[in-house]
Amino acid sequence: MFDALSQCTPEDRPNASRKWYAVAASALYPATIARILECLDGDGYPSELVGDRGNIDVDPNAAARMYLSRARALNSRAWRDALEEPNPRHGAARAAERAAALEIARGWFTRAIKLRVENPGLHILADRTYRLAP
Amino acid sequence: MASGWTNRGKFAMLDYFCRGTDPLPVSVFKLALVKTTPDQDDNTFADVTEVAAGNGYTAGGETVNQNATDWDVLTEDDTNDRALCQIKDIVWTASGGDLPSDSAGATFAILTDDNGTQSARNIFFWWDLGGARVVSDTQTLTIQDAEIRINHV
Repeated sequence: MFDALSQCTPEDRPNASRKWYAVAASALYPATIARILECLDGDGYPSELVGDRGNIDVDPNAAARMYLSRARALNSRAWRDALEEPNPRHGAARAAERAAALEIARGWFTRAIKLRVENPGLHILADRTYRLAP
Repeated sequence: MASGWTNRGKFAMLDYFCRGTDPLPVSVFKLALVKTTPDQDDNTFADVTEVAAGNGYTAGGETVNQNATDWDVLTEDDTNDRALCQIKDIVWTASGGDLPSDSAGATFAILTDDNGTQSARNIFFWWDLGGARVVSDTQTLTIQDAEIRINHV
Protein backbone atom coordinates (compact mmCIF):
# COMPACT_ATOMS: atom_id res chain seq x y z
CA MET A 1 0.00 0.00 0.00
CA PHE A 2 1.18 3.50 -0.81
CA ASP A 3 1.86 5.28 2.50
CA ALA A 4 1.91 9.03 1.90
CA LEU A 5 2.39 9.73 5.58
CA SER A 6 5.70 7.90 5.59
CA GLN A 7 7.05 10.57 3.21
CA CYS A 8 6.25 13.29 5.75
CA THR A 9 7.85 14.59 8.91
CA PRO A 10 5.75 16.08 11.72
CA GLU A 11 6.27 19.82 11.84
CA ASP A 12 5.99 21.72 15.09
CA ARG A 13 3.94 24.90 14.77
CA PRO A 14 3.21 26.70 18.02
CA ASN A 15 -0.51 27.29 18.61
CA ALA A 16 -1.44 25.38 15.47
CA SER A 17 -5.01 24.11 15.36
CA ARG A 18 -3.97 21.26 13.07
CA LYS A 19 -1.30 18.61 12.93
CA TRP A 20 1.26 19.82 10.44
CA TYR A 21 3.45 17.66 8.25
CA ALA A 22 6.37 18.70 6.09
CA VAL A 23 7.16 16.84 2.90
CA ALA A 24 9.97 17.35 0.39
CA ALA A 25 8.69 17.87 -3.12
CA SER A 26 11.40 15.46 -4.22
CA ALA A 27 9.69 12.80 -2.12
CA LEU A 28 6.07 13.71 -2.79
CA TYR A 29 6.07 13.90 -6.58
CA PRO A 30 8.28 10.96 -7.62
CA ALA A 31 6.68 8.58 -5.13
CA THR A 32 3.14 9.61 -5.97
CA ILE A 33 3.69 9.58 -9.72
CA ALA A 34 5.20 6.11 -9.47
CA ARG A 35 2.13 5.03 -7.54
CA ILE A 36 -0.23 6.62 -10.08
CA LEU A 37 1.50 4.86 -12.97
CA GLU A 38 1.31 1.59 -11.06
CA CYS A 39 -2.43 2.08 -10.56
CA LEU A 40 -3.00 3.00 -14.20
CA ASP A 41 -1.49 -0.34 -15.15
CA GLY A 42 -3.59 -2.28 -12.67
CA ASP A 43 -7.19 -2.96 -11.76
CA GLY A 44 -9.26 -1.74 -8.88
CA TYR A 45 -9.01 1.38 -6.82
CA PRO A 46 -5.92 2.65 -4.99
CA SER A 47 -6.63 1.70 -1.40
CA GLU A 48 -5.04 4.87 -0.03
CA LEU A 49 -7.80 6.93 -1.68
CA VAL A 50 -10.72 4.77 -0.58
CA GLY A 51 -12.74 6.03 2.35
CA ASP A 52 -15.46 8.44 3.36
CA ARG A 53 -14.08 9.95 6.58
CA GLY A 54 -17.29 8.98 8.34
CA ASN A 55 -19.62 10.76 5.92
CA ILE A 56 -22.08 8.05 4.92
CA ASP A 57 -23.30 10.12 1.97
CA VAL A 58 -19.89 9.92 0.32
CA ASP A 59 -19.20 7.04 -2.03
CA PRO A 60 -15.91 5.75 -0.58
CA ASN A 61 -14.59 5.03 -4.08
CA ALA A 62 -15.54 8.41 -5.57
CA ALA A 63 -12.23 10.15 -4.97
CA ALA A 64 -10.24 7.20 -6.27
CA ARG A 65 -12.41 7.15 -9.37
CA MET A 66 -11.97 10.90 -9.87
CA TYR A 67 -8.18 10.83 -9.58
CA LEU A 68 -7.83 7.75 -11.78
CA SER A 69 -10.03 9.34 -14.42
CA ARG A 70 -7.96 12.52 -14.42
CA ALA A 71 -4.73 10.56 -14.52
CA ARG A 72 -5.90 8.41 -17.43
CA ALA A 73 -6.62 11.55 -19.43
CA LEU A 74 -2.91 12.39 -19.56
CA ASN A 75 -0.32 10.82 -21.83
CA SER A 76 2.87 9.17 -20.63
CA ARG A 77 4.97 12.16 -21.73
CA ALA A 78 3.19 14.36 -19.19
CA TRP A 79 4.19 12.04 -16.37
CA ARG A 80 7.79 11.93 -17.57
CA ASP A 81 7.89 15.70 -17.94
CA ALA A 82 6.49 16.10 -14.43
CA LEU A 83 9.65 14.57 -12.99
CA GLU A 84 11.90 17.10 -14.69
CA GLU A 85 12.27 20.85 -14.38
CA PRO A 86 9.82 22.89 -16.42
CA ASN A 87 11.28 23.41 -19.87
CA PRO A 88 10.61 26.84 -21.37
CA ARG A 89 11.15 25.38 -24.86
CA HIS A 90 8.12 23.14 -24.52
CA GLY A 91 4.95 24.53 -25.99
CA ALA A 92 2.01 25.72 -23.93
CA ALA A 93 0.02 22.53 -24.40
CA ARG A 94 2.88 20.30 -23.24
CA ALA A 95 3.57 22.59 -20.28
CA ALA A 96 -0.11 22.46 -19.31
CA GLU A 97 -0.10 18.66 -19.41
CA ARG A 98 2.99 18.56 -17.21
CA ALA A 99 1.34 20.95 -14.74
CA ALA A 100 -1.83 18.87 -14.75
CA ALA A 101 0.20 15.77 -13.90
CA LEU A 102 1.86 17.55 -10.97
CA GLU A 103 -1.49 18.80 -9.68
CA ILE A 104 -3.06 15.37 -9.90
CA ALA A 105 -0.10 13.94 -7.98
CA ARG A 106 -0.36 16.61 -5.28
CA GLY A 107 -4.12 16.07 -4.98
CA TRP A 108 -3.66 12.30 -4.78
CA PHE A 109 -1.03 12.66 -2.07
CA THR A 110 -3.13 15.18 -0.13
CA ARG A 111 -6.20 12.97 -0.28
CA ALA A 112 -4.17 10.02 1.00
CA ILE A 113 -2.93 12.13 3.91
CA LYS A 114 -6.35 13.41 4.88
CA LEU A 115 -7.76 9.90 4.96
CA ARG A 116 -5.09 9.06 7.56
CA VAL A 117 -4.99 12.27 9.62
CA GLU A 118 -7.89 14.44 10.72
CA ASN A 119 -7.78 17.96 9.25
CA PRO A 120 -4.06 18.07 8.54
CA GLY A 121 -1.76 20.87 7.50
CA LEU A 122 0.71 20.01 4.76
CA HIS A 123 3.91 21.92 4.14
CA ILE A 124 5.47 21.17 0.75
CA LEU A 125 9.10 22.24 0.84
CA ALA A 126 10.70 24.28 -1.93
CA ASP A 127 12.13 22.52 -4.96
CA ARG A 128 12.33 24.19 -8.35
CA THR A 129 12.22 20.91 -10.23
CA TYR A 130 8.56 20.47 -9.43
CA ARG A 131 7.33 23.98 -10.11
CA LEU A 132 4.24 24.14 -12.28
CA ALA A 133 5.91 26.74 -14.49
CA PRO A 134 9.46 28.12 -14.86
CA MET B 1 -10.49 21.68 -11.91
CA ALA B 2 -10.30 25.27 -13.12
CA SER B 3 -11.20 27.72 -10.41
CA GLY B 4 -10.80 31.31 -9.36
CA TRP B 5 -11.47 34.10 -6.95
CA THR B 6 -14.00 36.75 -7.69
CA ASN B 7 -12.80 40.27 -6.99
CA ARG B 8 -15.39 40.41 -4.22
CA GLY B 9 -13.73 37.37 -2.70
CA LYS B 10 -10.27 38.95 -2.87
CA PHE B 11 -11.62 42.09 -1.28
CA ALA B 12 -13.39 40.21 1.53
CA MET B 13 -10.29 38.20 2.33
CA LEU B 14 -8.02 41.25 2.50
CA ASP B 15 -10.58 43.25 4.43
CA TYR B 16 -10.75 40.48 6.99
CA PHE B 17 -7.01 39.82 7.12
CA CYS B 18 -5.74 43.40 7.10
CA ARG B 19 -8.51 45.30 8.80
CA GLY B 20 -10.07 42.70 11.05
CA THR B 21 -13.49 43.39 9.61
CA ASP B 22 -16.26 43.58 12.16
CA PRO B 23 -18.63 41.94 11.53
CA LEU B 24 -16.71 39.23 9.75
CA PRO B 25 -17.47 39.05 6.05
CA VAL B 26 -18.72 35.53 6.64
CA SER B 27 -19.08 33.01 9.42
CA VAL B 28 -20.94 30.37 7.44
CA PHE B 29 -20.29 29.71 3.77
CA LYS B 30 -22.57 28.12 1.23
CA LEU B 31 -21.47 25.97 -1.69
CA ALA B 32 -24.03 26.29 -4.46
CA LEU B 33 -24.41 24.89 -7.97
CA VAL B 34 -24.97 27.22 -10.91
CA LYS B 35 -25.50 26.78 -14.63
CA THR B 36 -23.98 30.02 -15.88
CA THR B 37 -20.28 30.82 -16.09
CA PRO B 38 -19.10 33.03 -13.25
CA ASP B 39 -16.18 35.38 -13.68
CA GLN B 40 -14.07 37.56 -11.43
CA ASP B 41 -16.44 40.49 -11.78
CA ASP B 42 -19.48 38.62 -10.49
CA ASN B 43 -20.22 40.00 -7.06
CA THR B 44 -23.44 38.48 -5.85
CA PHE B 45 -25.75 35.57 -6.41
CA ALA B 46 -27.91 37.85 -8.53
CA ASP B 47 -25.12 37.78 -11.14
CA VAL B 48 -25.38 34.03 -11.77
CA THR B 49 -28.16 31.50 -12.38
CA GLU B 50 -28.53 28.72 -9.87
CA VAL B 51 -29.59 25.23 -10.89
CA ALA B 52 -33.22 24.28 -10.29
CA ALA B 53 -34.07 23.39 -6.72
CA GLY B 54 -35.75 20.13 -5.79
CA ASN B 55 -34.98 16.41 -5.99
CA GLY B 56 -32.25 16.75 -3.36
CA TYR B 57 -30.92 20.20 -4.14
CA THR B 58 -31.88 23.07 -1.81
CA ALA B 59 -31.76 26.61 -3.18
CA GLY B 60 -28.65 28.41 -1.94
CA GLY B 61 -26.56 25.28 -1.64
CA GLU B 62 -24.93 23.36 1.20
CA THR B 63 -23.38 24.79 4.34
CA VAL B 64 -19.61 24.96 4.77
CA ASN B 65 -18.70 26.13 8.24
CA GLN B 66 -15.76 28.37 8.96
CA ASN B 67 -13.69 25.81 10.83
CA ALA B 68 -10.96 23.22 10.44
CA THR B 69 -13.45 20.40 10.02
CA ASP B 70 -15.17 21.78 6.95
CA TRP B 71 -11.93 23.27 5.54
CA ASP B 72 -10.21 20.02 6.13
CA VAL B 73 -6.73 20.44 4.63
CA LEU B 74 -4.48 23.45 4.61
CA THR B 75 -1.38 23.39 2.41
CA GLU B 76 1.62 25.70 2.42
CA ASP B 77 3.40 25.06 -0.86
CA ASP B 78 6.93 26.47 -1.03
CA THR B 79 7.59 24.75 -4.34
CA ASN B 80 4.91 26.77 -6.09
CA ASP B 81 4.80 29.77 -3.75
CA ARG B 82 1.16 29.50 -2.76
CA ALA B 83 -1.22 28.37 -0.06
CA LEU B 84 -4.31 26.26 -0.52
CA CYS B 85 -7.30 25.36 1.60
CA GLN B 86 -9.49 22.39 0.77
CA ILE B 87 -13.20 21.93 1.49
CA LYS B 88 -14.61 18.71 2.87
CA ASP B 89 -16.55 16.51 0.46
CA ILE B 90 -19.95 17.98 -0.37
CA VAL B 91 -22.60 15.53 -1.58
CA TRP B 92 -26.01 15.96 -3.15
CA THR B 93 -28.15 12.85 -3.61
CA ALA B 94 -30.85 12.92 -6.28
CA SER B 95 -34.21 11.96 -4.83
CA GLY B 96 -37.42 11.62 -6.82
CA GLY B 97 -35.85 12.35 -10.20
CA ASP B 98 -32.94 14.09 -11.83
CA LEU B 99 -30.79 16.55 -9.93
CA PRO B 100 -31.03 19.35 -11.04
CA SER B 101 -34.74 18.78 -11.29
CA ASP B 102 -35.08 20.41 -14.73
CA SER B 103 -32.14 18.36 -16.03
CA ALA B 104 -30.25 21.55 -16.94
CA GLY B 105 -26.85 20.55 -15.62
CA ALA B 106 -24.68 22.26 -13.05
CA THR B 107 -21.58 23.68 -14.73
CA PHE B 108 -19.95 25.54 -11.84
CA ALA B 109 -19.92 25.53 -8.06
CA ILE B 110 -19.67 28.82 -6.21
CA LEU B 111 -18.71 29.71 -2.66
CA THR B 112 -20.87 32.41 -1.08
CA ASP B 113 -21.80 33.80 2.30
CA ASP B 114 -25.11 32.90 3.91
CA ASN B 115 -26.91 36.24 3.75
CA GLY B 116 -30.62 35.73 4.44
CA THR B 117 -31.40 37.35 1.12
CA GLN B 118 -29.98 34.83 -1.28
CA SER B 119 -29.67 37.21 -4.23
CA ALA B 120 -27.48 39.48 -2.08
CA ARG B 121 -25.01 36.78 -1.10
CA ASN B 122 -21.44 37.61 -2.06
CA ILE B 123 -19.67 35.20 -4.38
CA PHE B 124 -16.10 34.58 -3.21
CA PHE B 125 -14.81 31.75 -5.35
CA TRP B 126 -15.88 29.48 -8.20
CA TRP B 127 -14.98 26.03 -9.55
CA ASP B 128 -15.55 24.70 -13.07
CA LEU B 129 -17.23 21.29 -12.90
CA GLY B 130 -15.90 20.34 -16.32
CA GLY B 131 -19.26 20.01 -18.02
CA ALA B 132 -22.99 20.08 -17.34
CA ARG B 133 -23.54 17.71 -14.43
CA VAL B 134 -26.87 15.93 -14.01
CA VAL B 135 -27.39 12.85 -11.84
CA SER B 136 -30.35 10.48 -11.92
CA ASP B 137 -32.59 9.49 -9.04
CA THR B 138 -30.55 7.97 -6.14
CA GLN B 139 -27.22 8.92 -7.72
CA THR B 140 -24.89 11.37 -6.02
CA LEU B 141 -23.18 14.51 -7.21
CA THR B 142 -20.07 15.04 -5.12
CA ILE B 143 -17.66 17.95 -4.98
CA GLN B 144 -14.36 16.49 -3.76
CA ASP B 145 -11.09 18.14 -2.84
CA ALA B 146 -12.21 21.57 -4.05
CA GLU B 147 -9.53 24.09 -3.14
CA ILE B 148 -9.20 27.80 -2.86
CA ARG B 149 -5.70 29.15 -3.31
CA ILE B 150 -3.60 32.24 -3.00
CA ASN B 151 -0.79 32.57 -5.54
CA HIS B 152 1.39 35.59 -5.57
CA VAL B 153 5.11 35.86 -6.11
